[in-house]
Amino acid sequence: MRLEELFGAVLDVPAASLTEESGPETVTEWDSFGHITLITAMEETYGVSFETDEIQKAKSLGDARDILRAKGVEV
Amino acid sequence: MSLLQTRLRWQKIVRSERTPQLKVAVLSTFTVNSVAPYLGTALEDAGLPADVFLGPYNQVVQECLSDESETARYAPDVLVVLPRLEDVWVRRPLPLVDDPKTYGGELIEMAEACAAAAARWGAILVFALPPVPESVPLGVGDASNPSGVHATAATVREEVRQRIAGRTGVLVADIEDAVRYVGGARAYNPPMLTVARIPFAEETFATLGQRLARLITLNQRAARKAVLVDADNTLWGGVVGEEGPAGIDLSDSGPGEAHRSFQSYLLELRRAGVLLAITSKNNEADVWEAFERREMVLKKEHFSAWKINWKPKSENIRELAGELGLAPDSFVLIDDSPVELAEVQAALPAVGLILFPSDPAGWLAAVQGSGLLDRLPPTAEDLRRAESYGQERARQEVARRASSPEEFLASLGVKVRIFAPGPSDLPRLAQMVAKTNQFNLNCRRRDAAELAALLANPGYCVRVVQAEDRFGEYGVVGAYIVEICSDHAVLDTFLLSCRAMGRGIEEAMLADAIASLPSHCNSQLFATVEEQPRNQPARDFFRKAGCAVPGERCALSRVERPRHVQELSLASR
Repeated sequence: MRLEELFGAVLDVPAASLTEESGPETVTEWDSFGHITLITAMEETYGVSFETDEIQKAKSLGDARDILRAKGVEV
Repeated sequence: MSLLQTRLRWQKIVRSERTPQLKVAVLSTFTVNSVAPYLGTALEDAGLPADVFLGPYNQVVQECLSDESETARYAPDVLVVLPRLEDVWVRRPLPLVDDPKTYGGELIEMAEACAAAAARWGAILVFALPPVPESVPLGVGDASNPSGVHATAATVREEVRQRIAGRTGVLVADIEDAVRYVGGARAYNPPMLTVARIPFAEETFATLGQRLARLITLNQRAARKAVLVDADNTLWGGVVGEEGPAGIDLSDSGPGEAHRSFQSYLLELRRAGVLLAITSKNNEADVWEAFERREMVLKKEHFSAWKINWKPKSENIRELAGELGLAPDSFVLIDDSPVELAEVQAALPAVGLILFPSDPAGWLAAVQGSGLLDRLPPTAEDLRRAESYGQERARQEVARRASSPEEFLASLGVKVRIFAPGPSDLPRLAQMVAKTNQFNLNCRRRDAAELAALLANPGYCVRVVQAEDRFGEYGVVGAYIVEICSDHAVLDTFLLSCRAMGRGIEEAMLADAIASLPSHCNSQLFATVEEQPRNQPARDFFRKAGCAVPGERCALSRVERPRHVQELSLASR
């Protein structure tokens, strides 16, 4: 599943409205618990675990993509 | 369905703005948002569409003490409370040398505040016992410490359970149960605990949500009353018609042992008040011959009924329903054949179905994991039920030999005691009000808290009926509630367990209701019999008493207590 699609589904916003810069500041639905639901959704969908600092650093869709890439997940 | 799919499904359900039947508030000492999708979807699947409200983080006692709190204003039907000992013990060191009992105060105080709030708000309280803390500084040495973390957690959990379990309007859940199911090594989520105060893994929340939903459902509707069990490859290994009674597998190791463990489990269910019956496609003689094997844990006398023939199972289940006086939704069928289960599913969708696994060693996960046989601790009537069906067989035998219905009734020696229920009768009264369908004036449902309020209200007369005959005790089998008005009275509730119908007890109850009216009511008792899906017996009875048309209020004619019904005096027993 493309990362935009996953984020769109979890945050309940159109995937097309999301960019690499999308984050808590630009998407209303991306609140503190929304952030947690995104992390959990990525962990389940791509079979990876986020370390504590990675959870905090994934502050935009692009950041999350970089962290996933570093774990060997191409999305 | 994956956990993510379940969460997305819950998102859709919430967005659909369907009308919820139940308002559930969840309070917790940690971030608990994750439980909502699993609790919500499980309740949805159980036919109880719910709205789930999440209270503010770690404000359990504060929310409960005030009737102006967010939670109070939400006016929940169900208040779920999920504490962790790490959070309630936050201001003190972990247990090491102090008396474990000194660690109970905070959690007891919390439980009491929650129980009081739920009672004030008219909500059911579901209080979850906290799991044993993860942090155990002595490591494996903690087990040797009678005042260690494990010992103290166990003491505090039991103190709270003893205190609140069994109270009216209180259900006890257990987070440790979910942690154990998922497994300690996988149940926690340390990064999320540090980042967001979310202690548990998603899977733990999923298990917890499903189990909370099972418990809430259990409180909302009657538990299943009977297990219908297949014989071949279920009660024993192999097919008795092919291998013969000597050839079936009941060995004490291997698959036979699993079948025998399953039989022991059925026997335990029977002790708790579940009726057992057999539905098997077989020659009846073969099956009873198999029961002669000494390795059989279950004996013929443990079964209240059976249909052993070659007819479709659904047809047999319909007949068993008539014989036992139960509706199909009271039954759970356990069978190793998916084809038989599908046939029953199509014809009688209300019957609960459990597939007995092809590897019999998996029986416990299949049977217990289904949740279909969940039940609250048994009442005295539950404990007596299986026995009472045996007495019923003896009565039927007498009825067949009696030359007239009058002779039969006279020979029964029915005795009744009609009395105002005390606190110890309340659970049984609540159970009857929730479950009685056939002999029920209007199927008006009230929970224990509402009934307790009526008991304390001088404007209402609440009575329960205890009965016995020469074959045995019926226990508390009926109840009526009369609303006393200025110059008349209104029958609010009138119900009798179906196993006690047609013995003159209903006439004795109505006679008592009219005779007990205060003089200012002028013996005027009004009733409105309502047409409910299954209350034909009650409608027939009230037609004879003067209520010809369902839905229309009418005055009940004076009824005499039948002559064969005697007074049951407690002193004579």
